Amino acid sequence: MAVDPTAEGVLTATGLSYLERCSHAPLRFVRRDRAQPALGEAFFEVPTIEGLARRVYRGFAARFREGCPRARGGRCAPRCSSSCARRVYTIAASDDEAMPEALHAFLVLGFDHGRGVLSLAAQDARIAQAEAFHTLAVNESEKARQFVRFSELSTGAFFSLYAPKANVLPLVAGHFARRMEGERFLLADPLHHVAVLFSEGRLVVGPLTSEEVAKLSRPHELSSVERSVRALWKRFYDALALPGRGRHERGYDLRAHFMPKRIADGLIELDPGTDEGFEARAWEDAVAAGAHAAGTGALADAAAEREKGASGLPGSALKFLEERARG
Amino acid sequence: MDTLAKLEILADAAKYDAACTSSGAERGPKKGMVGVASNAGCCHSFTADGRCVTLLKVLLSNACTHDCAYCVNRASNHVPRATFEPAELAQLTIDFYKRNYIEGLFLSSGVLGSPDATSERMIACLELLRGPYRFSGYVHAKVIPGTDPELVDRLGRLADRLSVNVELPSAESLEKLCPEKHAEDVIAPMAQIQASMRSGRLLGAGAMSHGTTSGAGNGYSTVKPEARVAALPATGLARRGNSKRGAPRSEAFCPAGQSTQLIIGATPESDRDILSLSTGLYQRFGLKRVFFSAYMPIADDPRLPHPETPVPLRREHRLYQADWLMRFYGFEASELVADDAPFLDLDVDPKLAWALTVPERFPVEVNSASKEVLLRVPGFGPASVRKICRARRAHRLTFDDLDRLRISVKRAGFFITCSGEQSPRFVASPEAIREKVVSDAASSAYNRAQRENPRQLTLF
Repeated sequence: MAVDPTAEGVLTATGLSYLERCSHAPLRFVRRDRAQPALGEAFFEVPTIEGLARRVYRGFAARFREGCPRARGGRCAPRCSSSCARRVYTIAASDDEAMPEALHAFLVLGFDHGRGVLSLAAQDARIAQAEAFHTLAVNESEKARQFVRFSELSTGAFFSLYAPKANVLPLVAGHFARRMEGERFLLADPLHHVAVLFSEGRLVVGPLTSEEVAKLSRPHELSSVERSVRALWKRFYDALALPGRGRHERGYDLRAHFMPKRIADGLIELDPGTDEGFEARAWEDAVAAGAHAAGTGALADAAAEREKGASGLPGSALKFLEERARG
Repeated sequence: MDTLAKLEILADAAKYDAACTSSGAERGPKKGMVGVASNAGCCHSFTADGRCVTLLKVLLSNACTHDCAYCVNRASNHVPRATFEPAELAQLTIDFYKRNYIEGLFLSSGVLGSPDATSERMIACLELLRGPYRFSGYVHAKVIPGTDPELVDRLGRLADRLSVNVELPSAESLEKLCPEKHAEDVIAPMAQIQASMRSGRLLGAGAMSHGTTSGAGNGYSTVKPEARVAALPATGLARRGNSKRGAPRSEAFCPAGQSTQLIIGATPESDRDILSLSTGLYQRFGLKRVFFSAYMPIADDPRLPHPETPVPLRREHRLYQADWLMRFYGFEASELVADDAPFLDLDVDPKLAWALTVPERFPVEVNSASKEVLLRVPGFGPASVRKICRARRAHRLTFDDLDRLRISVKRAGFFITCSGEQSPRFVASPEAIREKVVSDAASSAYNRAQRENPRQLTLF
């Protein structure tokens, strides 16, 4: 079955095969964009049906709760809030070709064994693989939370391009929305063509076309203080390094271990040019304006204004996202 | 002096403080406020030497009237001095936070005249940040030893975490190197912080969230501490009675707890002294963390190690490992360091060193050993143990199963059996295990670098 490489795609195909009373054993789930039928295989393209996917997920989550020692009154404990069942989404974030089949096995065995499926990793290679995809997505999510760097645009909105190894921006979108309450931001993943928009208190995750990615990848007009803030951050970062504990003394590069090159390349604190952008006048004006606004209570008013006002996000490329944000 | 120059001086002056965590407090978004706090914390960058950057760690001022021998900011040291304006620091914090550079602010300071005057300035800065600048992210504040208890209380209601640095592992060393500091000045605020946290918890005063009471409308109380203390029993109990959750979300005192820091290698105390001290601090004051900072020679002072002494990185690392074993693996300090061997073994990690002293406890059978026993197997951590406990519910595990679960048995193979079978790496004698582990480690990058670098001087 050729499915969309998303959780909803695999959930839909799993639901359809159940409704059609198909045995799951002979089925092979593959990504629609890399489908290559083997000799003797029948080939079905399965469109994603959101409603069916939701229904299958609800059933799966309910099955997982059965026998869970933490669940109370048929509900997950607030502490873990169905994190076991939400593995469906973390597994689906993987870009690996084997993801649909691993997730399919996880769903089918999950319906059979409930939470016991988590004990099968040693016996079933597909479950072990699903666990590996889950771990990768959890690690990549953490890296996104750590290393996304926003820039303030001249419109007052914040913008960042970040390319993770798995499609994890939808998983971390809520984290950034919580941090940036009252602000507006756009976080785009040029690799997976996904954007997260937070505007007027609403969070929207949507796809991007190649043209939109190209537009977003061009330089944007920055706020007057942006280069100064970057220079300050770079100077702060450089000042923190301690002598006697570096690469030479350790024999290995601990920083490179935590910040692999693919991430380090996009970090402004590691860009030697960042240091030169400080404009004392612009920064002093910003501090004075901030102090004035703080003194008069204007900061709160400005936050409220921003929540009501236009988004100021980059370009018409995101028109559809803004429309969706407005509902 | 512009902000760029000040920031360089004050970040450079603060970098010797090892604490840079943003964990332990959970606070969701609030209307009109910027920032949240999350229990797990988040590292946003790593310095050239590999330490994590999670907070804007700066001093409010590096001007200091104290003359502690080991400190770069001591009064007699000729370094450029700077002091932040509160608005400047508040703007920096907000701007860095919104760009996802940091989780919050770590504020410490040199002693500007007196501990009280310094604390007043720090409080003014934090009140500005929490109030008009509407910052609700994480704040870690340093308590200057000797600060008035009322000011400590005010600091604790503005910050998520407080820390009072013990600085040196014994009162004698403190007296010798920091003539202006006294052990009781360090202990008193620690005890006060613990008592305030405990009374807050007993009275249900929201351990999780800074409140929405009164005053400037900024979510932070302007009630005087005495009035607050007087009001607590009645309001706390009344609120508890009326509230479903029993926790009025106000006046949380230091919700992320307190921590401290010790300098390692500047004075002659052994690892046993240090681990006993940290155990005592955890037990007596309920500390969240004791940080160890390897001494970096910065001054030519006869009371201190020679300026060319290499930084005792390996010792610091072993102490952190031992500390971790005591907090999360159920070890006692006395199991890790003995009277006759008061220093941790630098060649092997403390868990392995312990396992080699009790060969009668091994090998353990992974299919039947309890979680606590498995956690004591060298090479197994909580994640591996969790995987084993989960997988063995389905069937009896073999070494191939451990391989499929991606659990390394390179180290653990010496100490376990799977369904009665021993690992191909199994060696019976502790001496042989030690020899094998040390020879494996000899080719590690760290050990190669240590061989190439000059040997560490031993002065005590």
